[in-house]
Amino acid sequence: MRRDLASLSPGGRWISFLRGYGPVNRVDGMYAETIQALAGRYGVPPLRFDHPVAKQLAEALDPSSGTLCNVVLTGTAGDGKTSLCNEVWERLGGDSSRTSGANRDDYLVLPVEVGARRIRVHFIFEFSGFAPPRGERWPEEKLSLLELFGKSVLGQANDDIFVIAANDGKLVQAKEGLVEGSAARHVWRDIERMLATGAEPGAGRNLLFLNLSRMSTRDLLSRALKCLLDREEWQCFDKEVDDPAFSSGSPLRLNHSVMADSLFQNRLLALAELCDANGLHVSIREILLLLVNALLGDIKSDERVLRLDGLRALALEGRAHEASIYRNLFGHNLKDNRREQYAVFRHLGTFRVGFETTNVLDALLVFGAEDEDLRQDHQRYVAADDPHGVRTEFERLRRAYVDADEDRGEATEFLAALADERRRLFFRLPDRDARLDPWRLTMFQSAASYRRYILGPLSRNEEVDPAIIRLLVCGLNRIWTGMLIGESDMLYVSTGLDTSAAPVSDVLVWRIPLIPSDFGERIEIDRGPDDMPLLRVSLGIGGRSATYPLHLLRYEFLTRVAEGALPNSFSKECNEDVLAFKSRLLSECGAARRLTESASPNRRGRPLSLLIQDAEGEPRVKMLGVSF
Amino acid sequence: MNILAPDNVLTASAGSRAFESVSIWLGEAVFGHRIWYRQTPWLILLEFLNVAEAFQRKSALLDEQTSPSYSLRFRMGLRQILFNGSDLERIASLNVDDESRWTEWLAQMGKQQCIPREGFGYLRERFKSFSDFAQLVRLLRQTGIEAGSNKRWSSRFIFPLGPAALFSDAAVDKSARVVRDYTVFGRSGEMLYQMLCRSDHADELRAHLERLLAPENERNRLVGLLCAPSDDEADRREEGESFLPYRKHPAFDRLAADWLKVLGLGLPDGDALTHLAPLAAFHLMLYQLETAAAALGSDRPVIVCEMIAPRRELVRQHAVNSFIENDALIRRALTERLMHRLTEIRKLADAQDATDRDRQEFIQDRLREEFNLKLERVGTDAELDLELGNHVERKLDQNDGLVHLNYGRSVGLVSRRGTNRNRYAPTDAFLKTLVLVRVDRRQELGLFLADLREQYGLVIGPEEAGAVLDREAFDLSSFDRNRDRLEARLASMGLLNRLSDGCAYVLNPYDSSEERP
Repeated sequence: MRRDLASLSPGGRWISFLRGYGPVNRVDGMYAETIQALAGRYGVPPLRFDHPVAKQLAEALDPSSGTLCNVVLTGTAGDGKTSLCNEVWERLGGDSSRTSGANRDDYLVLPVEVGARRIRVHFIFEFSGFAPPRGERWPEEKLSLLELFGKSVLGQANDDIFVIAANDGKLVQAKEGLVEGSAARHVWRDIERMLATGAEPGAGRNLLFLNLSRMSTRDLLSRALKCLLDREEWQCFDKEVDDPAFSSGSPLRLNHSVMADSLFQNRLLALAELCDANGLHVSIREILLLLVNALLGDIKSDERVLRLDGLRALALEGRAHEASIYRNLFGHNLKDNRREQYAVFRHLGTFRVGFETTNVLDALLVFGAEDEDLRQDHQRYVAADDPHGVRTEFERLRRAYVDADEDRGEATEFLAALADERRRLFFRLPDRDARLDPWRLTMFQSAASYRRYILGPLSRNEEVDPAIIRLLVCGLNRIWTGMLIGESDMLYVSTGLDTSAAPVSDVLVWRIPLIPSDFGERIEIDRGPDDMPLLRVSLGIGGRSATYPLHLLRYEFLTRVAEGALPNSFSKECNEDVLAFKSRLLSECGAARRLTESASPNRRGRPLSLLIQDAEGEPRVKMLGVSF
Repeated sequence: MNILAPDNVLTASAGSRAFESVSIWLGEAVFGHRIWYRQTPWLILLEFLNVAEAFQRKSALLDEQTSPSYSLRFRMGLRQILFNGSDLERIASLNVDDESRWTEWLAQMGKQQCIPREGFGYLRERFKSFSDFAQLVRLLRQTGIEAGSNKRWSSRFIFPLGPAALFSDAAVDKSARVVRDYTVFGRSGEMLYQMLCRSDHADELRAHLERLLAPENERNRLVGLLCAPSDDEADRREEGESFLPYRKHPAFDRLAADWLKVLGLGLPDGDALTHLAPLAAFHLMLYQLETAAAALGSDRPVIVCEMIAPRRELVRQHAVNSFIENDALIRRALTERLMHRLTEIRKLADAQDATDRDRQEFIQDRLREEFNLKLERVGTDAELDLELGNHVERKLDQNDGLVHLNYGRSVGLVSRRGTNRNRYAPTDAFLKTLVLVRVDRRQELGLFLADLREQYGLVIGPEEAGAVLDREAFDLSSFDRNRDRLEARLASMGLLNRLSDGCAYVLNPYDSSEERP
């Protein structure tokens, strides 16, 4: 082993080290240690970038500012909680035993001079290890420590400050063991609310609550890409060009050049942005895994991730395309059950890239080279991407498929190759050509419009185009009424006489105009907590309104229904979800109505109005000669 | 609490109406008279609302009484219009003036049996046009309960929009008289009513029910437009033949608490009822199982639920076993009760040192007194054991043994999907109802699962399975996957939010006691 190491070139050491970030077996719960060990063994510093919360954390725990603030760091495994804690420990004067891994205690205390005072900073590095197993009682001394933490947060214990890194599940469970009426229990209720809703700590709390699960995946990916691509070790492509592993025919080199391409990066960042928009978070650890697997994944290698000799073999045999970044990126180099273990691949999998397509885009891939109309686009988006371009292998399968008889069987091999080509095309198509919209290759066909008309304006603090709201209202009208009504200037809130989810809901309860009225009735899209777009319907009476976080999936559903899809056939769950929104809005309508009725108690009934469709399919309100 | 404590148990004495109306007073003594297996959740709720409305009229809603008598309404006027006048649509579409439409329709209706004595002329004064009238009828017909089933018109119901929409089950007999029909309202709704009366939450529930049953409700006024003046006569009298054996029972309180939660969510009234109906049937079923277990001195029943898996999973076998075990509880409880008493009676008979004939007569008399069991003759002990065994089987087959399965299926807890055996495999709708009643705003998934076990005996996740199943006999990971499938299903319904790999919250989107983002 030692001799092997000594014989490794800098490039060789870099790749062997990098492989450790990939989807390879390692001991559970020992990630940081494994990476440290690899870094030591290969003499390569770990991948590092500024953690998005590092600055906030440093400010909260800066002795020169004269005060310290309690910190709770929580979130998904792999978002760097423990590392951040370790860094704080060292910065405040602790020894290097934490960062080196020599000290792995769950709990340590560090005295810190703040001005003339001496403050005890309590570090709970790993709350999961600190807390008793589920169902067991807290030991007295730990319970009183948590009580001290509670008091410190509430401003009742100023000589003690806590820095706690906790898995959020463990954090929530801990509440059960805390004494009712205690300061700790009080603070825990706050913590639970902040976790679930993203709210800030209440007034008068000395607490910085950092939920790393709410960090933007797009931001993390952007930092990770830069950090990885900026590493000087990539000099191996110049300095070790004689090694086939780093030669121009190497899959690593091919994949690296794709990853460095700005079109590719932007599309990948857009995917991450849409994960955020669907409420899906990916941890730092898995983002690095994603990138390393994209570079080194290979279906035929040991653990499905290439080593040096594998790189060399593929380069020498001219099979670099077999380790294509486009397949690796979605984890298709991994076995199904292995891929499913990683949130990053589950989340990216929801886009179904490779499985969704349109006639035009498939024609471009299969017939583009020969088709008069498509030839130019084919050259530009498919063939030019050499040597992933019109590869001999795909070409062979394509020929066989095109020339085959009627009974050509299932063509499994060709279809798999076609799926890979679609994945490649997804990253190659331009942003604003409706005919060649890359998002048509995903399950979210509305993604381009969602980014352009929703995320874009909101990020610039601009208003959303009323035409988009009109489209969404059309979807809502169709789902809520059970009728295939056309676009309209009104949002109709209707119900069955029996239940609000009646298949045909034709009893009109309320109408909200698309054009905001002078009485405060309006339908708008603004930004909610977490920057999530929020559809808000205001009734204009007593401030009553209902909101609906507009995830990409919901946007997709509403626009598809507006364009003619039947609600239940697209997704039963989405349909239920939109009906639940109606139910909430109906409750608001009821409350608003009670307000108006209490203002005019002598009013005698209100005419029963039915929503019907006229011959053109336009919604019309018919008032019956009977009153409620 | 010990529900079997002597001061908690009521007995129906020989000679009472309930006792005399039943051929063998056996399941009735243990569970009450009666939980009728054929009654669907909606029909249970309808019967309940009818009974509640009858007591509301007497200003005695949810007041506890041991032998309640009350009167329901047949509302034949409304029902004729809704369900026995098939020509309405045709007449409404005739190209004639309004006057002619009314004339033709009134002439048609005048020929029907069992119409209100004042006729239907009142409708002309209430509606501006025939088409308004027809439109309202159409709307109300859309709300039909179990409209898909092919029932005769006198057994059809509309959604309980208010007291005007409530009416008793009915049949028209040979002499064109309206009489009650026991197969539709089989007293499960009456049992439900009594359980709520005896629960700890009767006072809080009263206010909610008064609101549901208020005549001035908008939708009730709409139905009222169709009702004949004579429809309001309470023409079906009940003298109190139902019987509920326990003064207090934890199942009563849980039922009431769940109902209270639904009614307090501020849902539109109709939506609330769609949860009350399955909860009613579910709790009646749990009540029967728990009572049987208590009678046998066993622990509370465990209900192992399979979240239906694409492949055969070990959980399925546990769910099947748990269903079978619970199903057997009812048989065991009834057999045990009859045989235990028989042994006692025989001891008494033997103590009298009488002739064989006197001994048999003694046993015969006592069986009649205690069980209303009228035997022609009592043979040898072996013969009698056999005969009584047959009686128990018959009771089980006629009703008592079928409640668990039928109610379980109709609420969406029991299913045969994917197999040929019944087991607990809850539907999405049932899970949603559980979330609505058990979660205040949000609850951590693990705590939610623990609560379902605590509250109902439902076992879904590994922690709960570990607590009730023999550790040797099962594979923890299969319950891990079971919990994961539950999580996926809740998430797809918008009832769960996973914050990270370590933490997921079950959400009750209807509980708005705190503003959600």
